[in-house]
Amino acid sequence: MPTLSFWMILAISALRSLRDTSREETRGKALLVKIAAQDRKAFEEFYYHYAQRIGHFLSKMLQRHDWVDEGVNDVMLTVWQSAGRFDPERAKVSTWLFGIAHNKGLKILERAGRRREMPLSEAADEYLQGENDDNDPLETKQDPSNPEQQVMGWQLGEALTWAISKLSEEHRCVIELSFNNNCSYQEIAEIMSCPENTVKTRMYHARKKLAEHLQRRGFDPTGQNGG
Amino acid sequence: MANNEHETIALLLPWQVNGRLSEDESRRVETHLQNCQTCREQVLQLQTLKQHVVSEPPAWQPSAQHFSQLLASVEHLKQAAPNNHAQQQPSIRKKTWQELFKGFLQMPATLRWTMALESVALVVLVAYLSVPAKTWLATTDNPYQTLSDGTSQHSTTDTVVRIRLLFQEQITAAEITQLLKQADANIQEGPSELGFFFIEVPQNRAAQVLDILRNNPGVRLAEPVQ
Repeated sequence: MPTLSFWMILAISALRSLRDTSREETRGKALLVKIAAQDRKAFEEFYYHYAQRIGHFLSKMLQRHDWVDEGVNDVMLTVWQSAGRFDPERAKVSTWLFGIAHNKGLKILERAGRRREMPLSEAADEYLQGENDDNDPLETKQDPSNPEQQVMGWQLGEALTWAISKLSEEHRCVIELSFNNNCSYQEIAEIMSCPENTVKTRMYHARKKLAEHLQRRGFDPTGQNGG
Repeated sequence: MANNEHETIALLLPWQVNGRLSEDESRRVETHLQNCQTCREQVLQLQTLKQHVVSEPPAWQPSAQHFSQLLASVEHLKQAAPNNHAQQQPSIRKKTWQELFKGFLQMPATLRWTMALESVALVVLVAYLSVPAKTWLATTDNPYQTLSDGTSQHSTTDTVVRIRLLFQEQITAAEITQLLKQADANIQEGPSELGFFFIEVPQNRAAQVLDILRNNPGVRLAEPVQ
């Protein structure tokens, strides 16, 4: 039977993630109406409210700071041009915005020839295996024989950052949208223009790849510390 | 069946952790978790992952400079929009010409010949008028000069640089006047809807003027218009 603390952690986690988005949503919609009427002040407020999240998302997706500047610029330009076309009946402001961001991000990656296509089957998922692994300087830092070293949270954090950076951009997007932006799988499907089941399987493969990467750094995926 | 249920639930766990499952789904997951140690472990791992992702500092920060550049891009788009419209014109005109030509062929022969002769006469007249005008314009020792001649030489696109300017909101009119005096430039246009002003300076002074403008704290953005 699960312990009481397990349920408490789960409940707190769920409560924390239930942010009061309705207020933000109402404000976002009101700003978009004004932006559609070419209101510069509203555009500026919208920019300062959403640009950081969009920038963070693109930064995780593109992994190049100079591309992020361009990406955020492109997203906001689209907002300026298309605010009048936003349909609040169809999507939330953030879903619409992240959809634009994801699209712009893909275009930047395609232009740079850096886009990695998603594998269609689990077997094909091995495409990531061994990628740059031999040259990874972080790989040797971890000493699997030293459990004390591994239980330190910052080391797990560092390993997680590294492991996430090793994923494909689609896997990174699913993780980022789920955990940093609290999107439902239905919203992610809309943002990434794919079926809901694809979102679930992408997340599944992302977790699997993360566990493999962490294991290679000496972290046991069944627990927080290795050894 | 149980295996299927386990697999279905396992795929939903990330959204149980972020609290975005529907009530029905969430209840189903909770029921499954009571009897599945593997899934409970997965939930703990996902919570660690979520905690890590959320705790990462913002990887990108908005800035006044970036926003100013964004406004410049918007302004650029606005200026480009009429050109795009103009580019669509030829296709419309082409249709009109085709229609006119069809109409022309359907006219009586005498009327057609009269119109053709009139067109030839018009072409000859235009050619006659344009040749001396060209020669006159090409002459350097032109005895006639108007007041606007000096400025028009100055505003030739290849010798003048157009600069897009965005001031800080708190800048005063006196400060703008002082700054323009320092830069030896005048506002040619503005403010636009987005608050941009445009000045034009000779190309050989453009770099110096841009330096003066950019170093002034009252200026948010100063950039040459491409």
